[in-house]
Amino acid sequence: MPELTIAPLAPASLHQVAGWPDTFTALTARLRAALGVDALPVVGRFLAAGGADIAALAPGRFLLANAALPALPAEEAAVTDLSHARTAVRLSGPAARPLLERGISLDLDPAALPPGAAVQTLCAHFDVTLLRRDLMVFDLYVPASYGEAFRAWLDDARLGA
Amino acid sequence: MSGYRLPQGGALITRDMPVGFTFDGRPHTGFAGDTLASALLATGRRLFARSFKYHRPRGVVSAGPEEPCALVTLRDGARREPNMPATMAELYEGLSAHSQNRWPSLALDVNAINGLFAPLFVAGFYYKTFMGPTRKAWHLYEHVIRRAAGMGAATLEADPDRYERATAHCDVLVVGAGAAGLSAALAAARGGARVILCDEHPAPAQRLSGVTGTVNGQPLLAWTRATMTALRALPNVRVLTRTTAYGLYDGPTVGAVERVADHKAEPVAGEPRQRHWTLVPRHIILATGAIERPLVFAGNDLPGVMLADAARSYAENYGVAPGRQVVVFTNNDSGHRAALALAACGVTVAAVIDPRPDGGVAHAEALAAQDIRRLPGAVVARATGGKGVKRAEVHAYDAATGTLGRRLAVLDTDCLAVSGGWTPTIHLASQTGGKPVFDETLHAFVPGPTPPWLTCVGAAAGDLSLDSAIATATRAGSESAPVPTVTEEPDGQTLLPLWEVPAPRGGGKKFVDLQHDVTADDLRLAHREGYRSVEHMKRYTTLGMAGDQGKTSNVNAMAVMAEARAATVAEVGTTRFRPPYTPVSLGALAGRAVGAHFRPERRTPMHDWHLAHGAEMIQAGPWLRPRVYRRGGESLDQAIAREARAVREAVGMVDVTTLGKIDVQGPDAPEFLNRVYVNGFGKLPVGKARYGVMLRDDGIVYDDGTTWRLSETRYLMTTTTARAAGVLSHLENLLAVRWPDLRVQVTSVSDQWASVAVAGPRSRETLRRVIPDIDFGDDALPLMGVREGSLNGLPVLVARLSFSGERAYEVYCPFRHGDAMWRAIMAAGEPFGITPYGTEALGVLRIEKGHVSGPELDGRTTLDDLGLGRMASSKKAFIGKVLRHRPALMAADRKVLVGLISETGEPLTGGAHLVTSADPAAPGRSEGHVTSPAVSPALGRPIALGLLERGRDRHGDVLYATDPLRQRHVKVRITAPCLFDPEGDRLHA
Repeated sequence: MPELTIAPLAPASLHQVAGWPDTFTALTARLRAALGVDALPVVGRFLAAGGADIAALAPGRFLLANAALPALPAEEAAVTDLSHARTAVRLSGPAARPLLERGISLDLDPAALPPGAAVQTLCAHFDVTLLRRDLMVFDLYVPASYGEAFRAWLDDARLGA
Repeated sequence: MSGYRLPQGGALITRDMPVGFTFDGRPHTGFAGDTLASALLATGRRLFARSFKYHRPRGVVSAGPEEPCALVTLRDGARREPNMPATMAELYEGLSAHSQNRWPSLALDVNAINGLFAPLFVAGFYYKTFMGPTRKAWHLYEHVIRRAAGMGAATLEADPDRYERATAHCDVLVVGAGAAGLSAALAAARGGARVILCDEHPAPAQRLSGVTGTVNGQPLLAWTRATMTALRALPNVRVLTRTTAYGLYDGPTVGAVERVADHKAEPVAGEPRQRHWTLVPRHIILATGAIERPLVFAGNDLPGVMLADAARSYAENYGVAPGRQVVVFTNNDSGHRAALALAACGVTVAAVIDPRPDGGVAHAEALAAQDIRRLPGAVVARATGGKGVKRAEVHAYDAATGTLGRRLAVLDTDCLAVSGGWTPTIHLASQTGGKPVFDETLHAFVPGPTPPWLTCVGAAAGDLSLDSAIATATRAGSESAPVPTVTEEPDGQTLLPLWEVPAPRGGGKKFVDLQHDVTADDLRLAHREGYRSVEHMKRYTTLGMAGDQGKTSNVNAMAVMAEARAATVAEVGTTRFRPPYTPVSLGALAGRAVGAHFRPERRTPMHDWHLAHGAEMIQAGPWLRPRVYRRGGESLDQAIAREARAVREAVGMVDVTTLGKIDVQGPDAPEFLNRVYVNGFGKLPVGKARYGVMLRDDGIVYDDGTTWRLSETRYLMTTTTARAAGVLSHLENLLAVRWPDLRVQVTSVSDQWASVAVAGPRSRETLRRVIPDIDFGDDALPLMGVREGSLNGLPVLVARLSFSGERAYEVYCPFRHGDAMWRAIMAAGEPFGITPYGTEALGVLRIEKGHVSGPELDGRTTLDDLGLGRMASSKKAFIGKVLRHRPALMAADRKVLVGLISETGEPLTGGAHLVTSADPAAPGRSEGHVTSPAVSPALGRPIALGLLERGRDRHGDVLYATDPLRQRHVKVRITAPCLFDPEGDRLHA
């Protein structure tokens, strides 16, 4: 069986930060300054900065893992704490992509989903947020209540991968 | 004995690897590379199966997936699989195969008596016999007919094997690894495209159909192998062998099944038996080849009558002589080539019969050299024999008039190899919707107009020339690819369309669809009875509707119909092919979505505690919830009553983590909730919760729950467990589509919070012991109040809400701390006898209080039906406000919420109908129904909620809850919905 490592991830914090069309510029400026980055990722990509992951999941909507959040005015942004709402795992190794092909219908070719991609999709029955860290390294976030079922699915799918 | 293994030859078999197998329990030996069909032919067997309708003896017709006759049951026990073409079953050591559709044995089948009643089993037999006045007869005969009809039987045991689903994307998908497919794939791959090449056979070019020639100076077969090796070495190519692309869908998307382990006794550990592929290409090249057509003549279904190219294939590919005395009957040159190929393998070919006046003249010399008699201007008018062909009656044939002349010869034969020309395999192309076009040279349908992302090449496109097919396919793969140099045997004369050979005196059945036993006469009968469109003819006669999907019968049938209609085949047209091209097993479609993976479970963080404390779990959507915690010796009812009583008398705790929770945030959140709920939320003070109901656009109640105001701009909305995802989608849709100007964000936080409801007169004392920083005084935390606090250091949210009618609190903490919170509250409540309760007791408590839930929010009820009409604000707009006042929703006789009390103490059942008649045998009209039944410990009798016409005017009336399925007819008294503590005093106890 090709090599595959499935390791639990335990981000210290997970937050969704979302703005509105008329506040988005101000919001991104505050985030850039607080996170010390020149630019925030475009939708469908993530950025690793100083131990934090900043993923742009949808227009005006970011998911931040391990990030020190600045104070954001309520009229400018909605911050939702999801630190407990997700279970995360990291798949790495040559068999990671074949395994994910058994659950995810997106094109996992690096040309279509390069390292740095961040997407929300379905993996088998599970809603997942997928961050491709490297060619053979994928971080997957699933709803916490599905954590055990997802782990069971991974353990089963790796048999065939 | 007929066929036999030739002393040498067989491109696909390995002679030094014998393989043992059994057929109908009898042991045989074949070679690695054999199919079940080739290995059985080598034993001399011609009789493989009994036909579908008449139970006529049948043999092998083809050497591929088009096989209409040689269907067998493979394997035993849980792995038994019926109706598998022996031509596609790869031989493996220990394969156990069985004939089917026969009793007591293949050689002696009593149902063959059906053949004597053949005049009865004509087209439309079932309609004619069992519809109209004789309809009732069906119920009489159904059992007998169902047992006699059909083919093999599936196993009743669970399939022990693994099936998988996977997705693959590519730039170019090439279907078919023949000469054209390989050329296209190589050109596309060398051009840098991501290529997937799939082929239903284990090796490439297995169906090159007797084509000989050279490519770039290499013999064709060697070139195909070298090309496959080259393709496999390219990193941008994925080759899927044993993989049938069965359906072409919008997108484009192609469904394919890879038979990963069907050629093994058992899959190795972890290996799936089959893998379903969802292929997502940018461009599709169909190089699906062509299938040889049979000829339609009397006795054409006898075992031993097979396609000429199949006969060639058995000799060349498997080293099997399909008979000892082969006669070829062909209307085109490929039959002659097959005869020569057979002879070259050492098979005795007696004659080639060809209706064309100078048929096969190009091969005359070669045939003479092999001592093969050439009979041009002649046809086989009838094949005769018992359980296999013995003789072919050869008559002169006038091609100009289509009439039979004198009998020229009666030839002894045990293998009559026939060729009626080639039918391009256009199934996948046809599925895209382009109407197939009749090609007047090929006398077959070729793909019609194709979408820009689809190209058909080679024989599939009607191009039977090797040179031209390779050139076209190469260019289809890449415009700039170098086109190989090809030499090939020049094509012979054109085909003579010969759709049906007139029968000589004495007649005989002429089969068009060999799998569904449809004859040329059946087609003419359909025409006489008015079923003239091909689509009607197909459905009336069932032609082309069997597992083989008309692969060998389609064109011949259209031609017979054209003759009957005095039209051209082009005018008659063809039916649309639909997926699947070949049958797809249900296992492949299900993949891993079986057992626990069928619907993954959602678990709350207290799951393990529940199990450890005797909880019986019940599914609530994907969630697992404790239904009841039974203690030793308790009946279900006793346990439910104990749990409910504990809440009414002391304190109980229930896990409500499964409720949907939505974070609603933004400056416009108050306005948004005002529009979403029927009641006002804009002025709800921070630190308070409110019960809200939301309607659908059409005024029907959609969902309910409490929503808590956490700050000026932030609310925590709760939904029912069942509608959590639906409500979120509804809200997102509203914000994205209807009110994009509202600055509101909605986010599911269902998995962020674990939550419990602590209910009962001792609930306050319990919580005071573990959440010391919240003042639980009624002034500090009044009903509907929300406070933040800490429990053993965990941050918690506490809301004073009640579903049970008792003093109660909901406590929320971050999800992963749920178990710690639960244990802490259990410990704190111990002095008060805190009792965990499940969904059953939860239901009992809310039914006693007349609170509505899922069974009442059934997508048909209005606010007024549920007695909640006064909640609706008259001052503001909200979704559903206009349509809730539709006349039908305002009608006086609507069913409205009532309470029901069993007068006799007999239990009530959900779904029982409310009737006025005391007679269960004549219950009369249903005036309502029971929605939520319970046995109330507080009232000491069975009660229920129900919906009853004009129910509010009928309090005190006596009706009957009738349930004929469970044979209950219970006298009930109608009451107000709230049966317990109607004043609500206990909320403050």
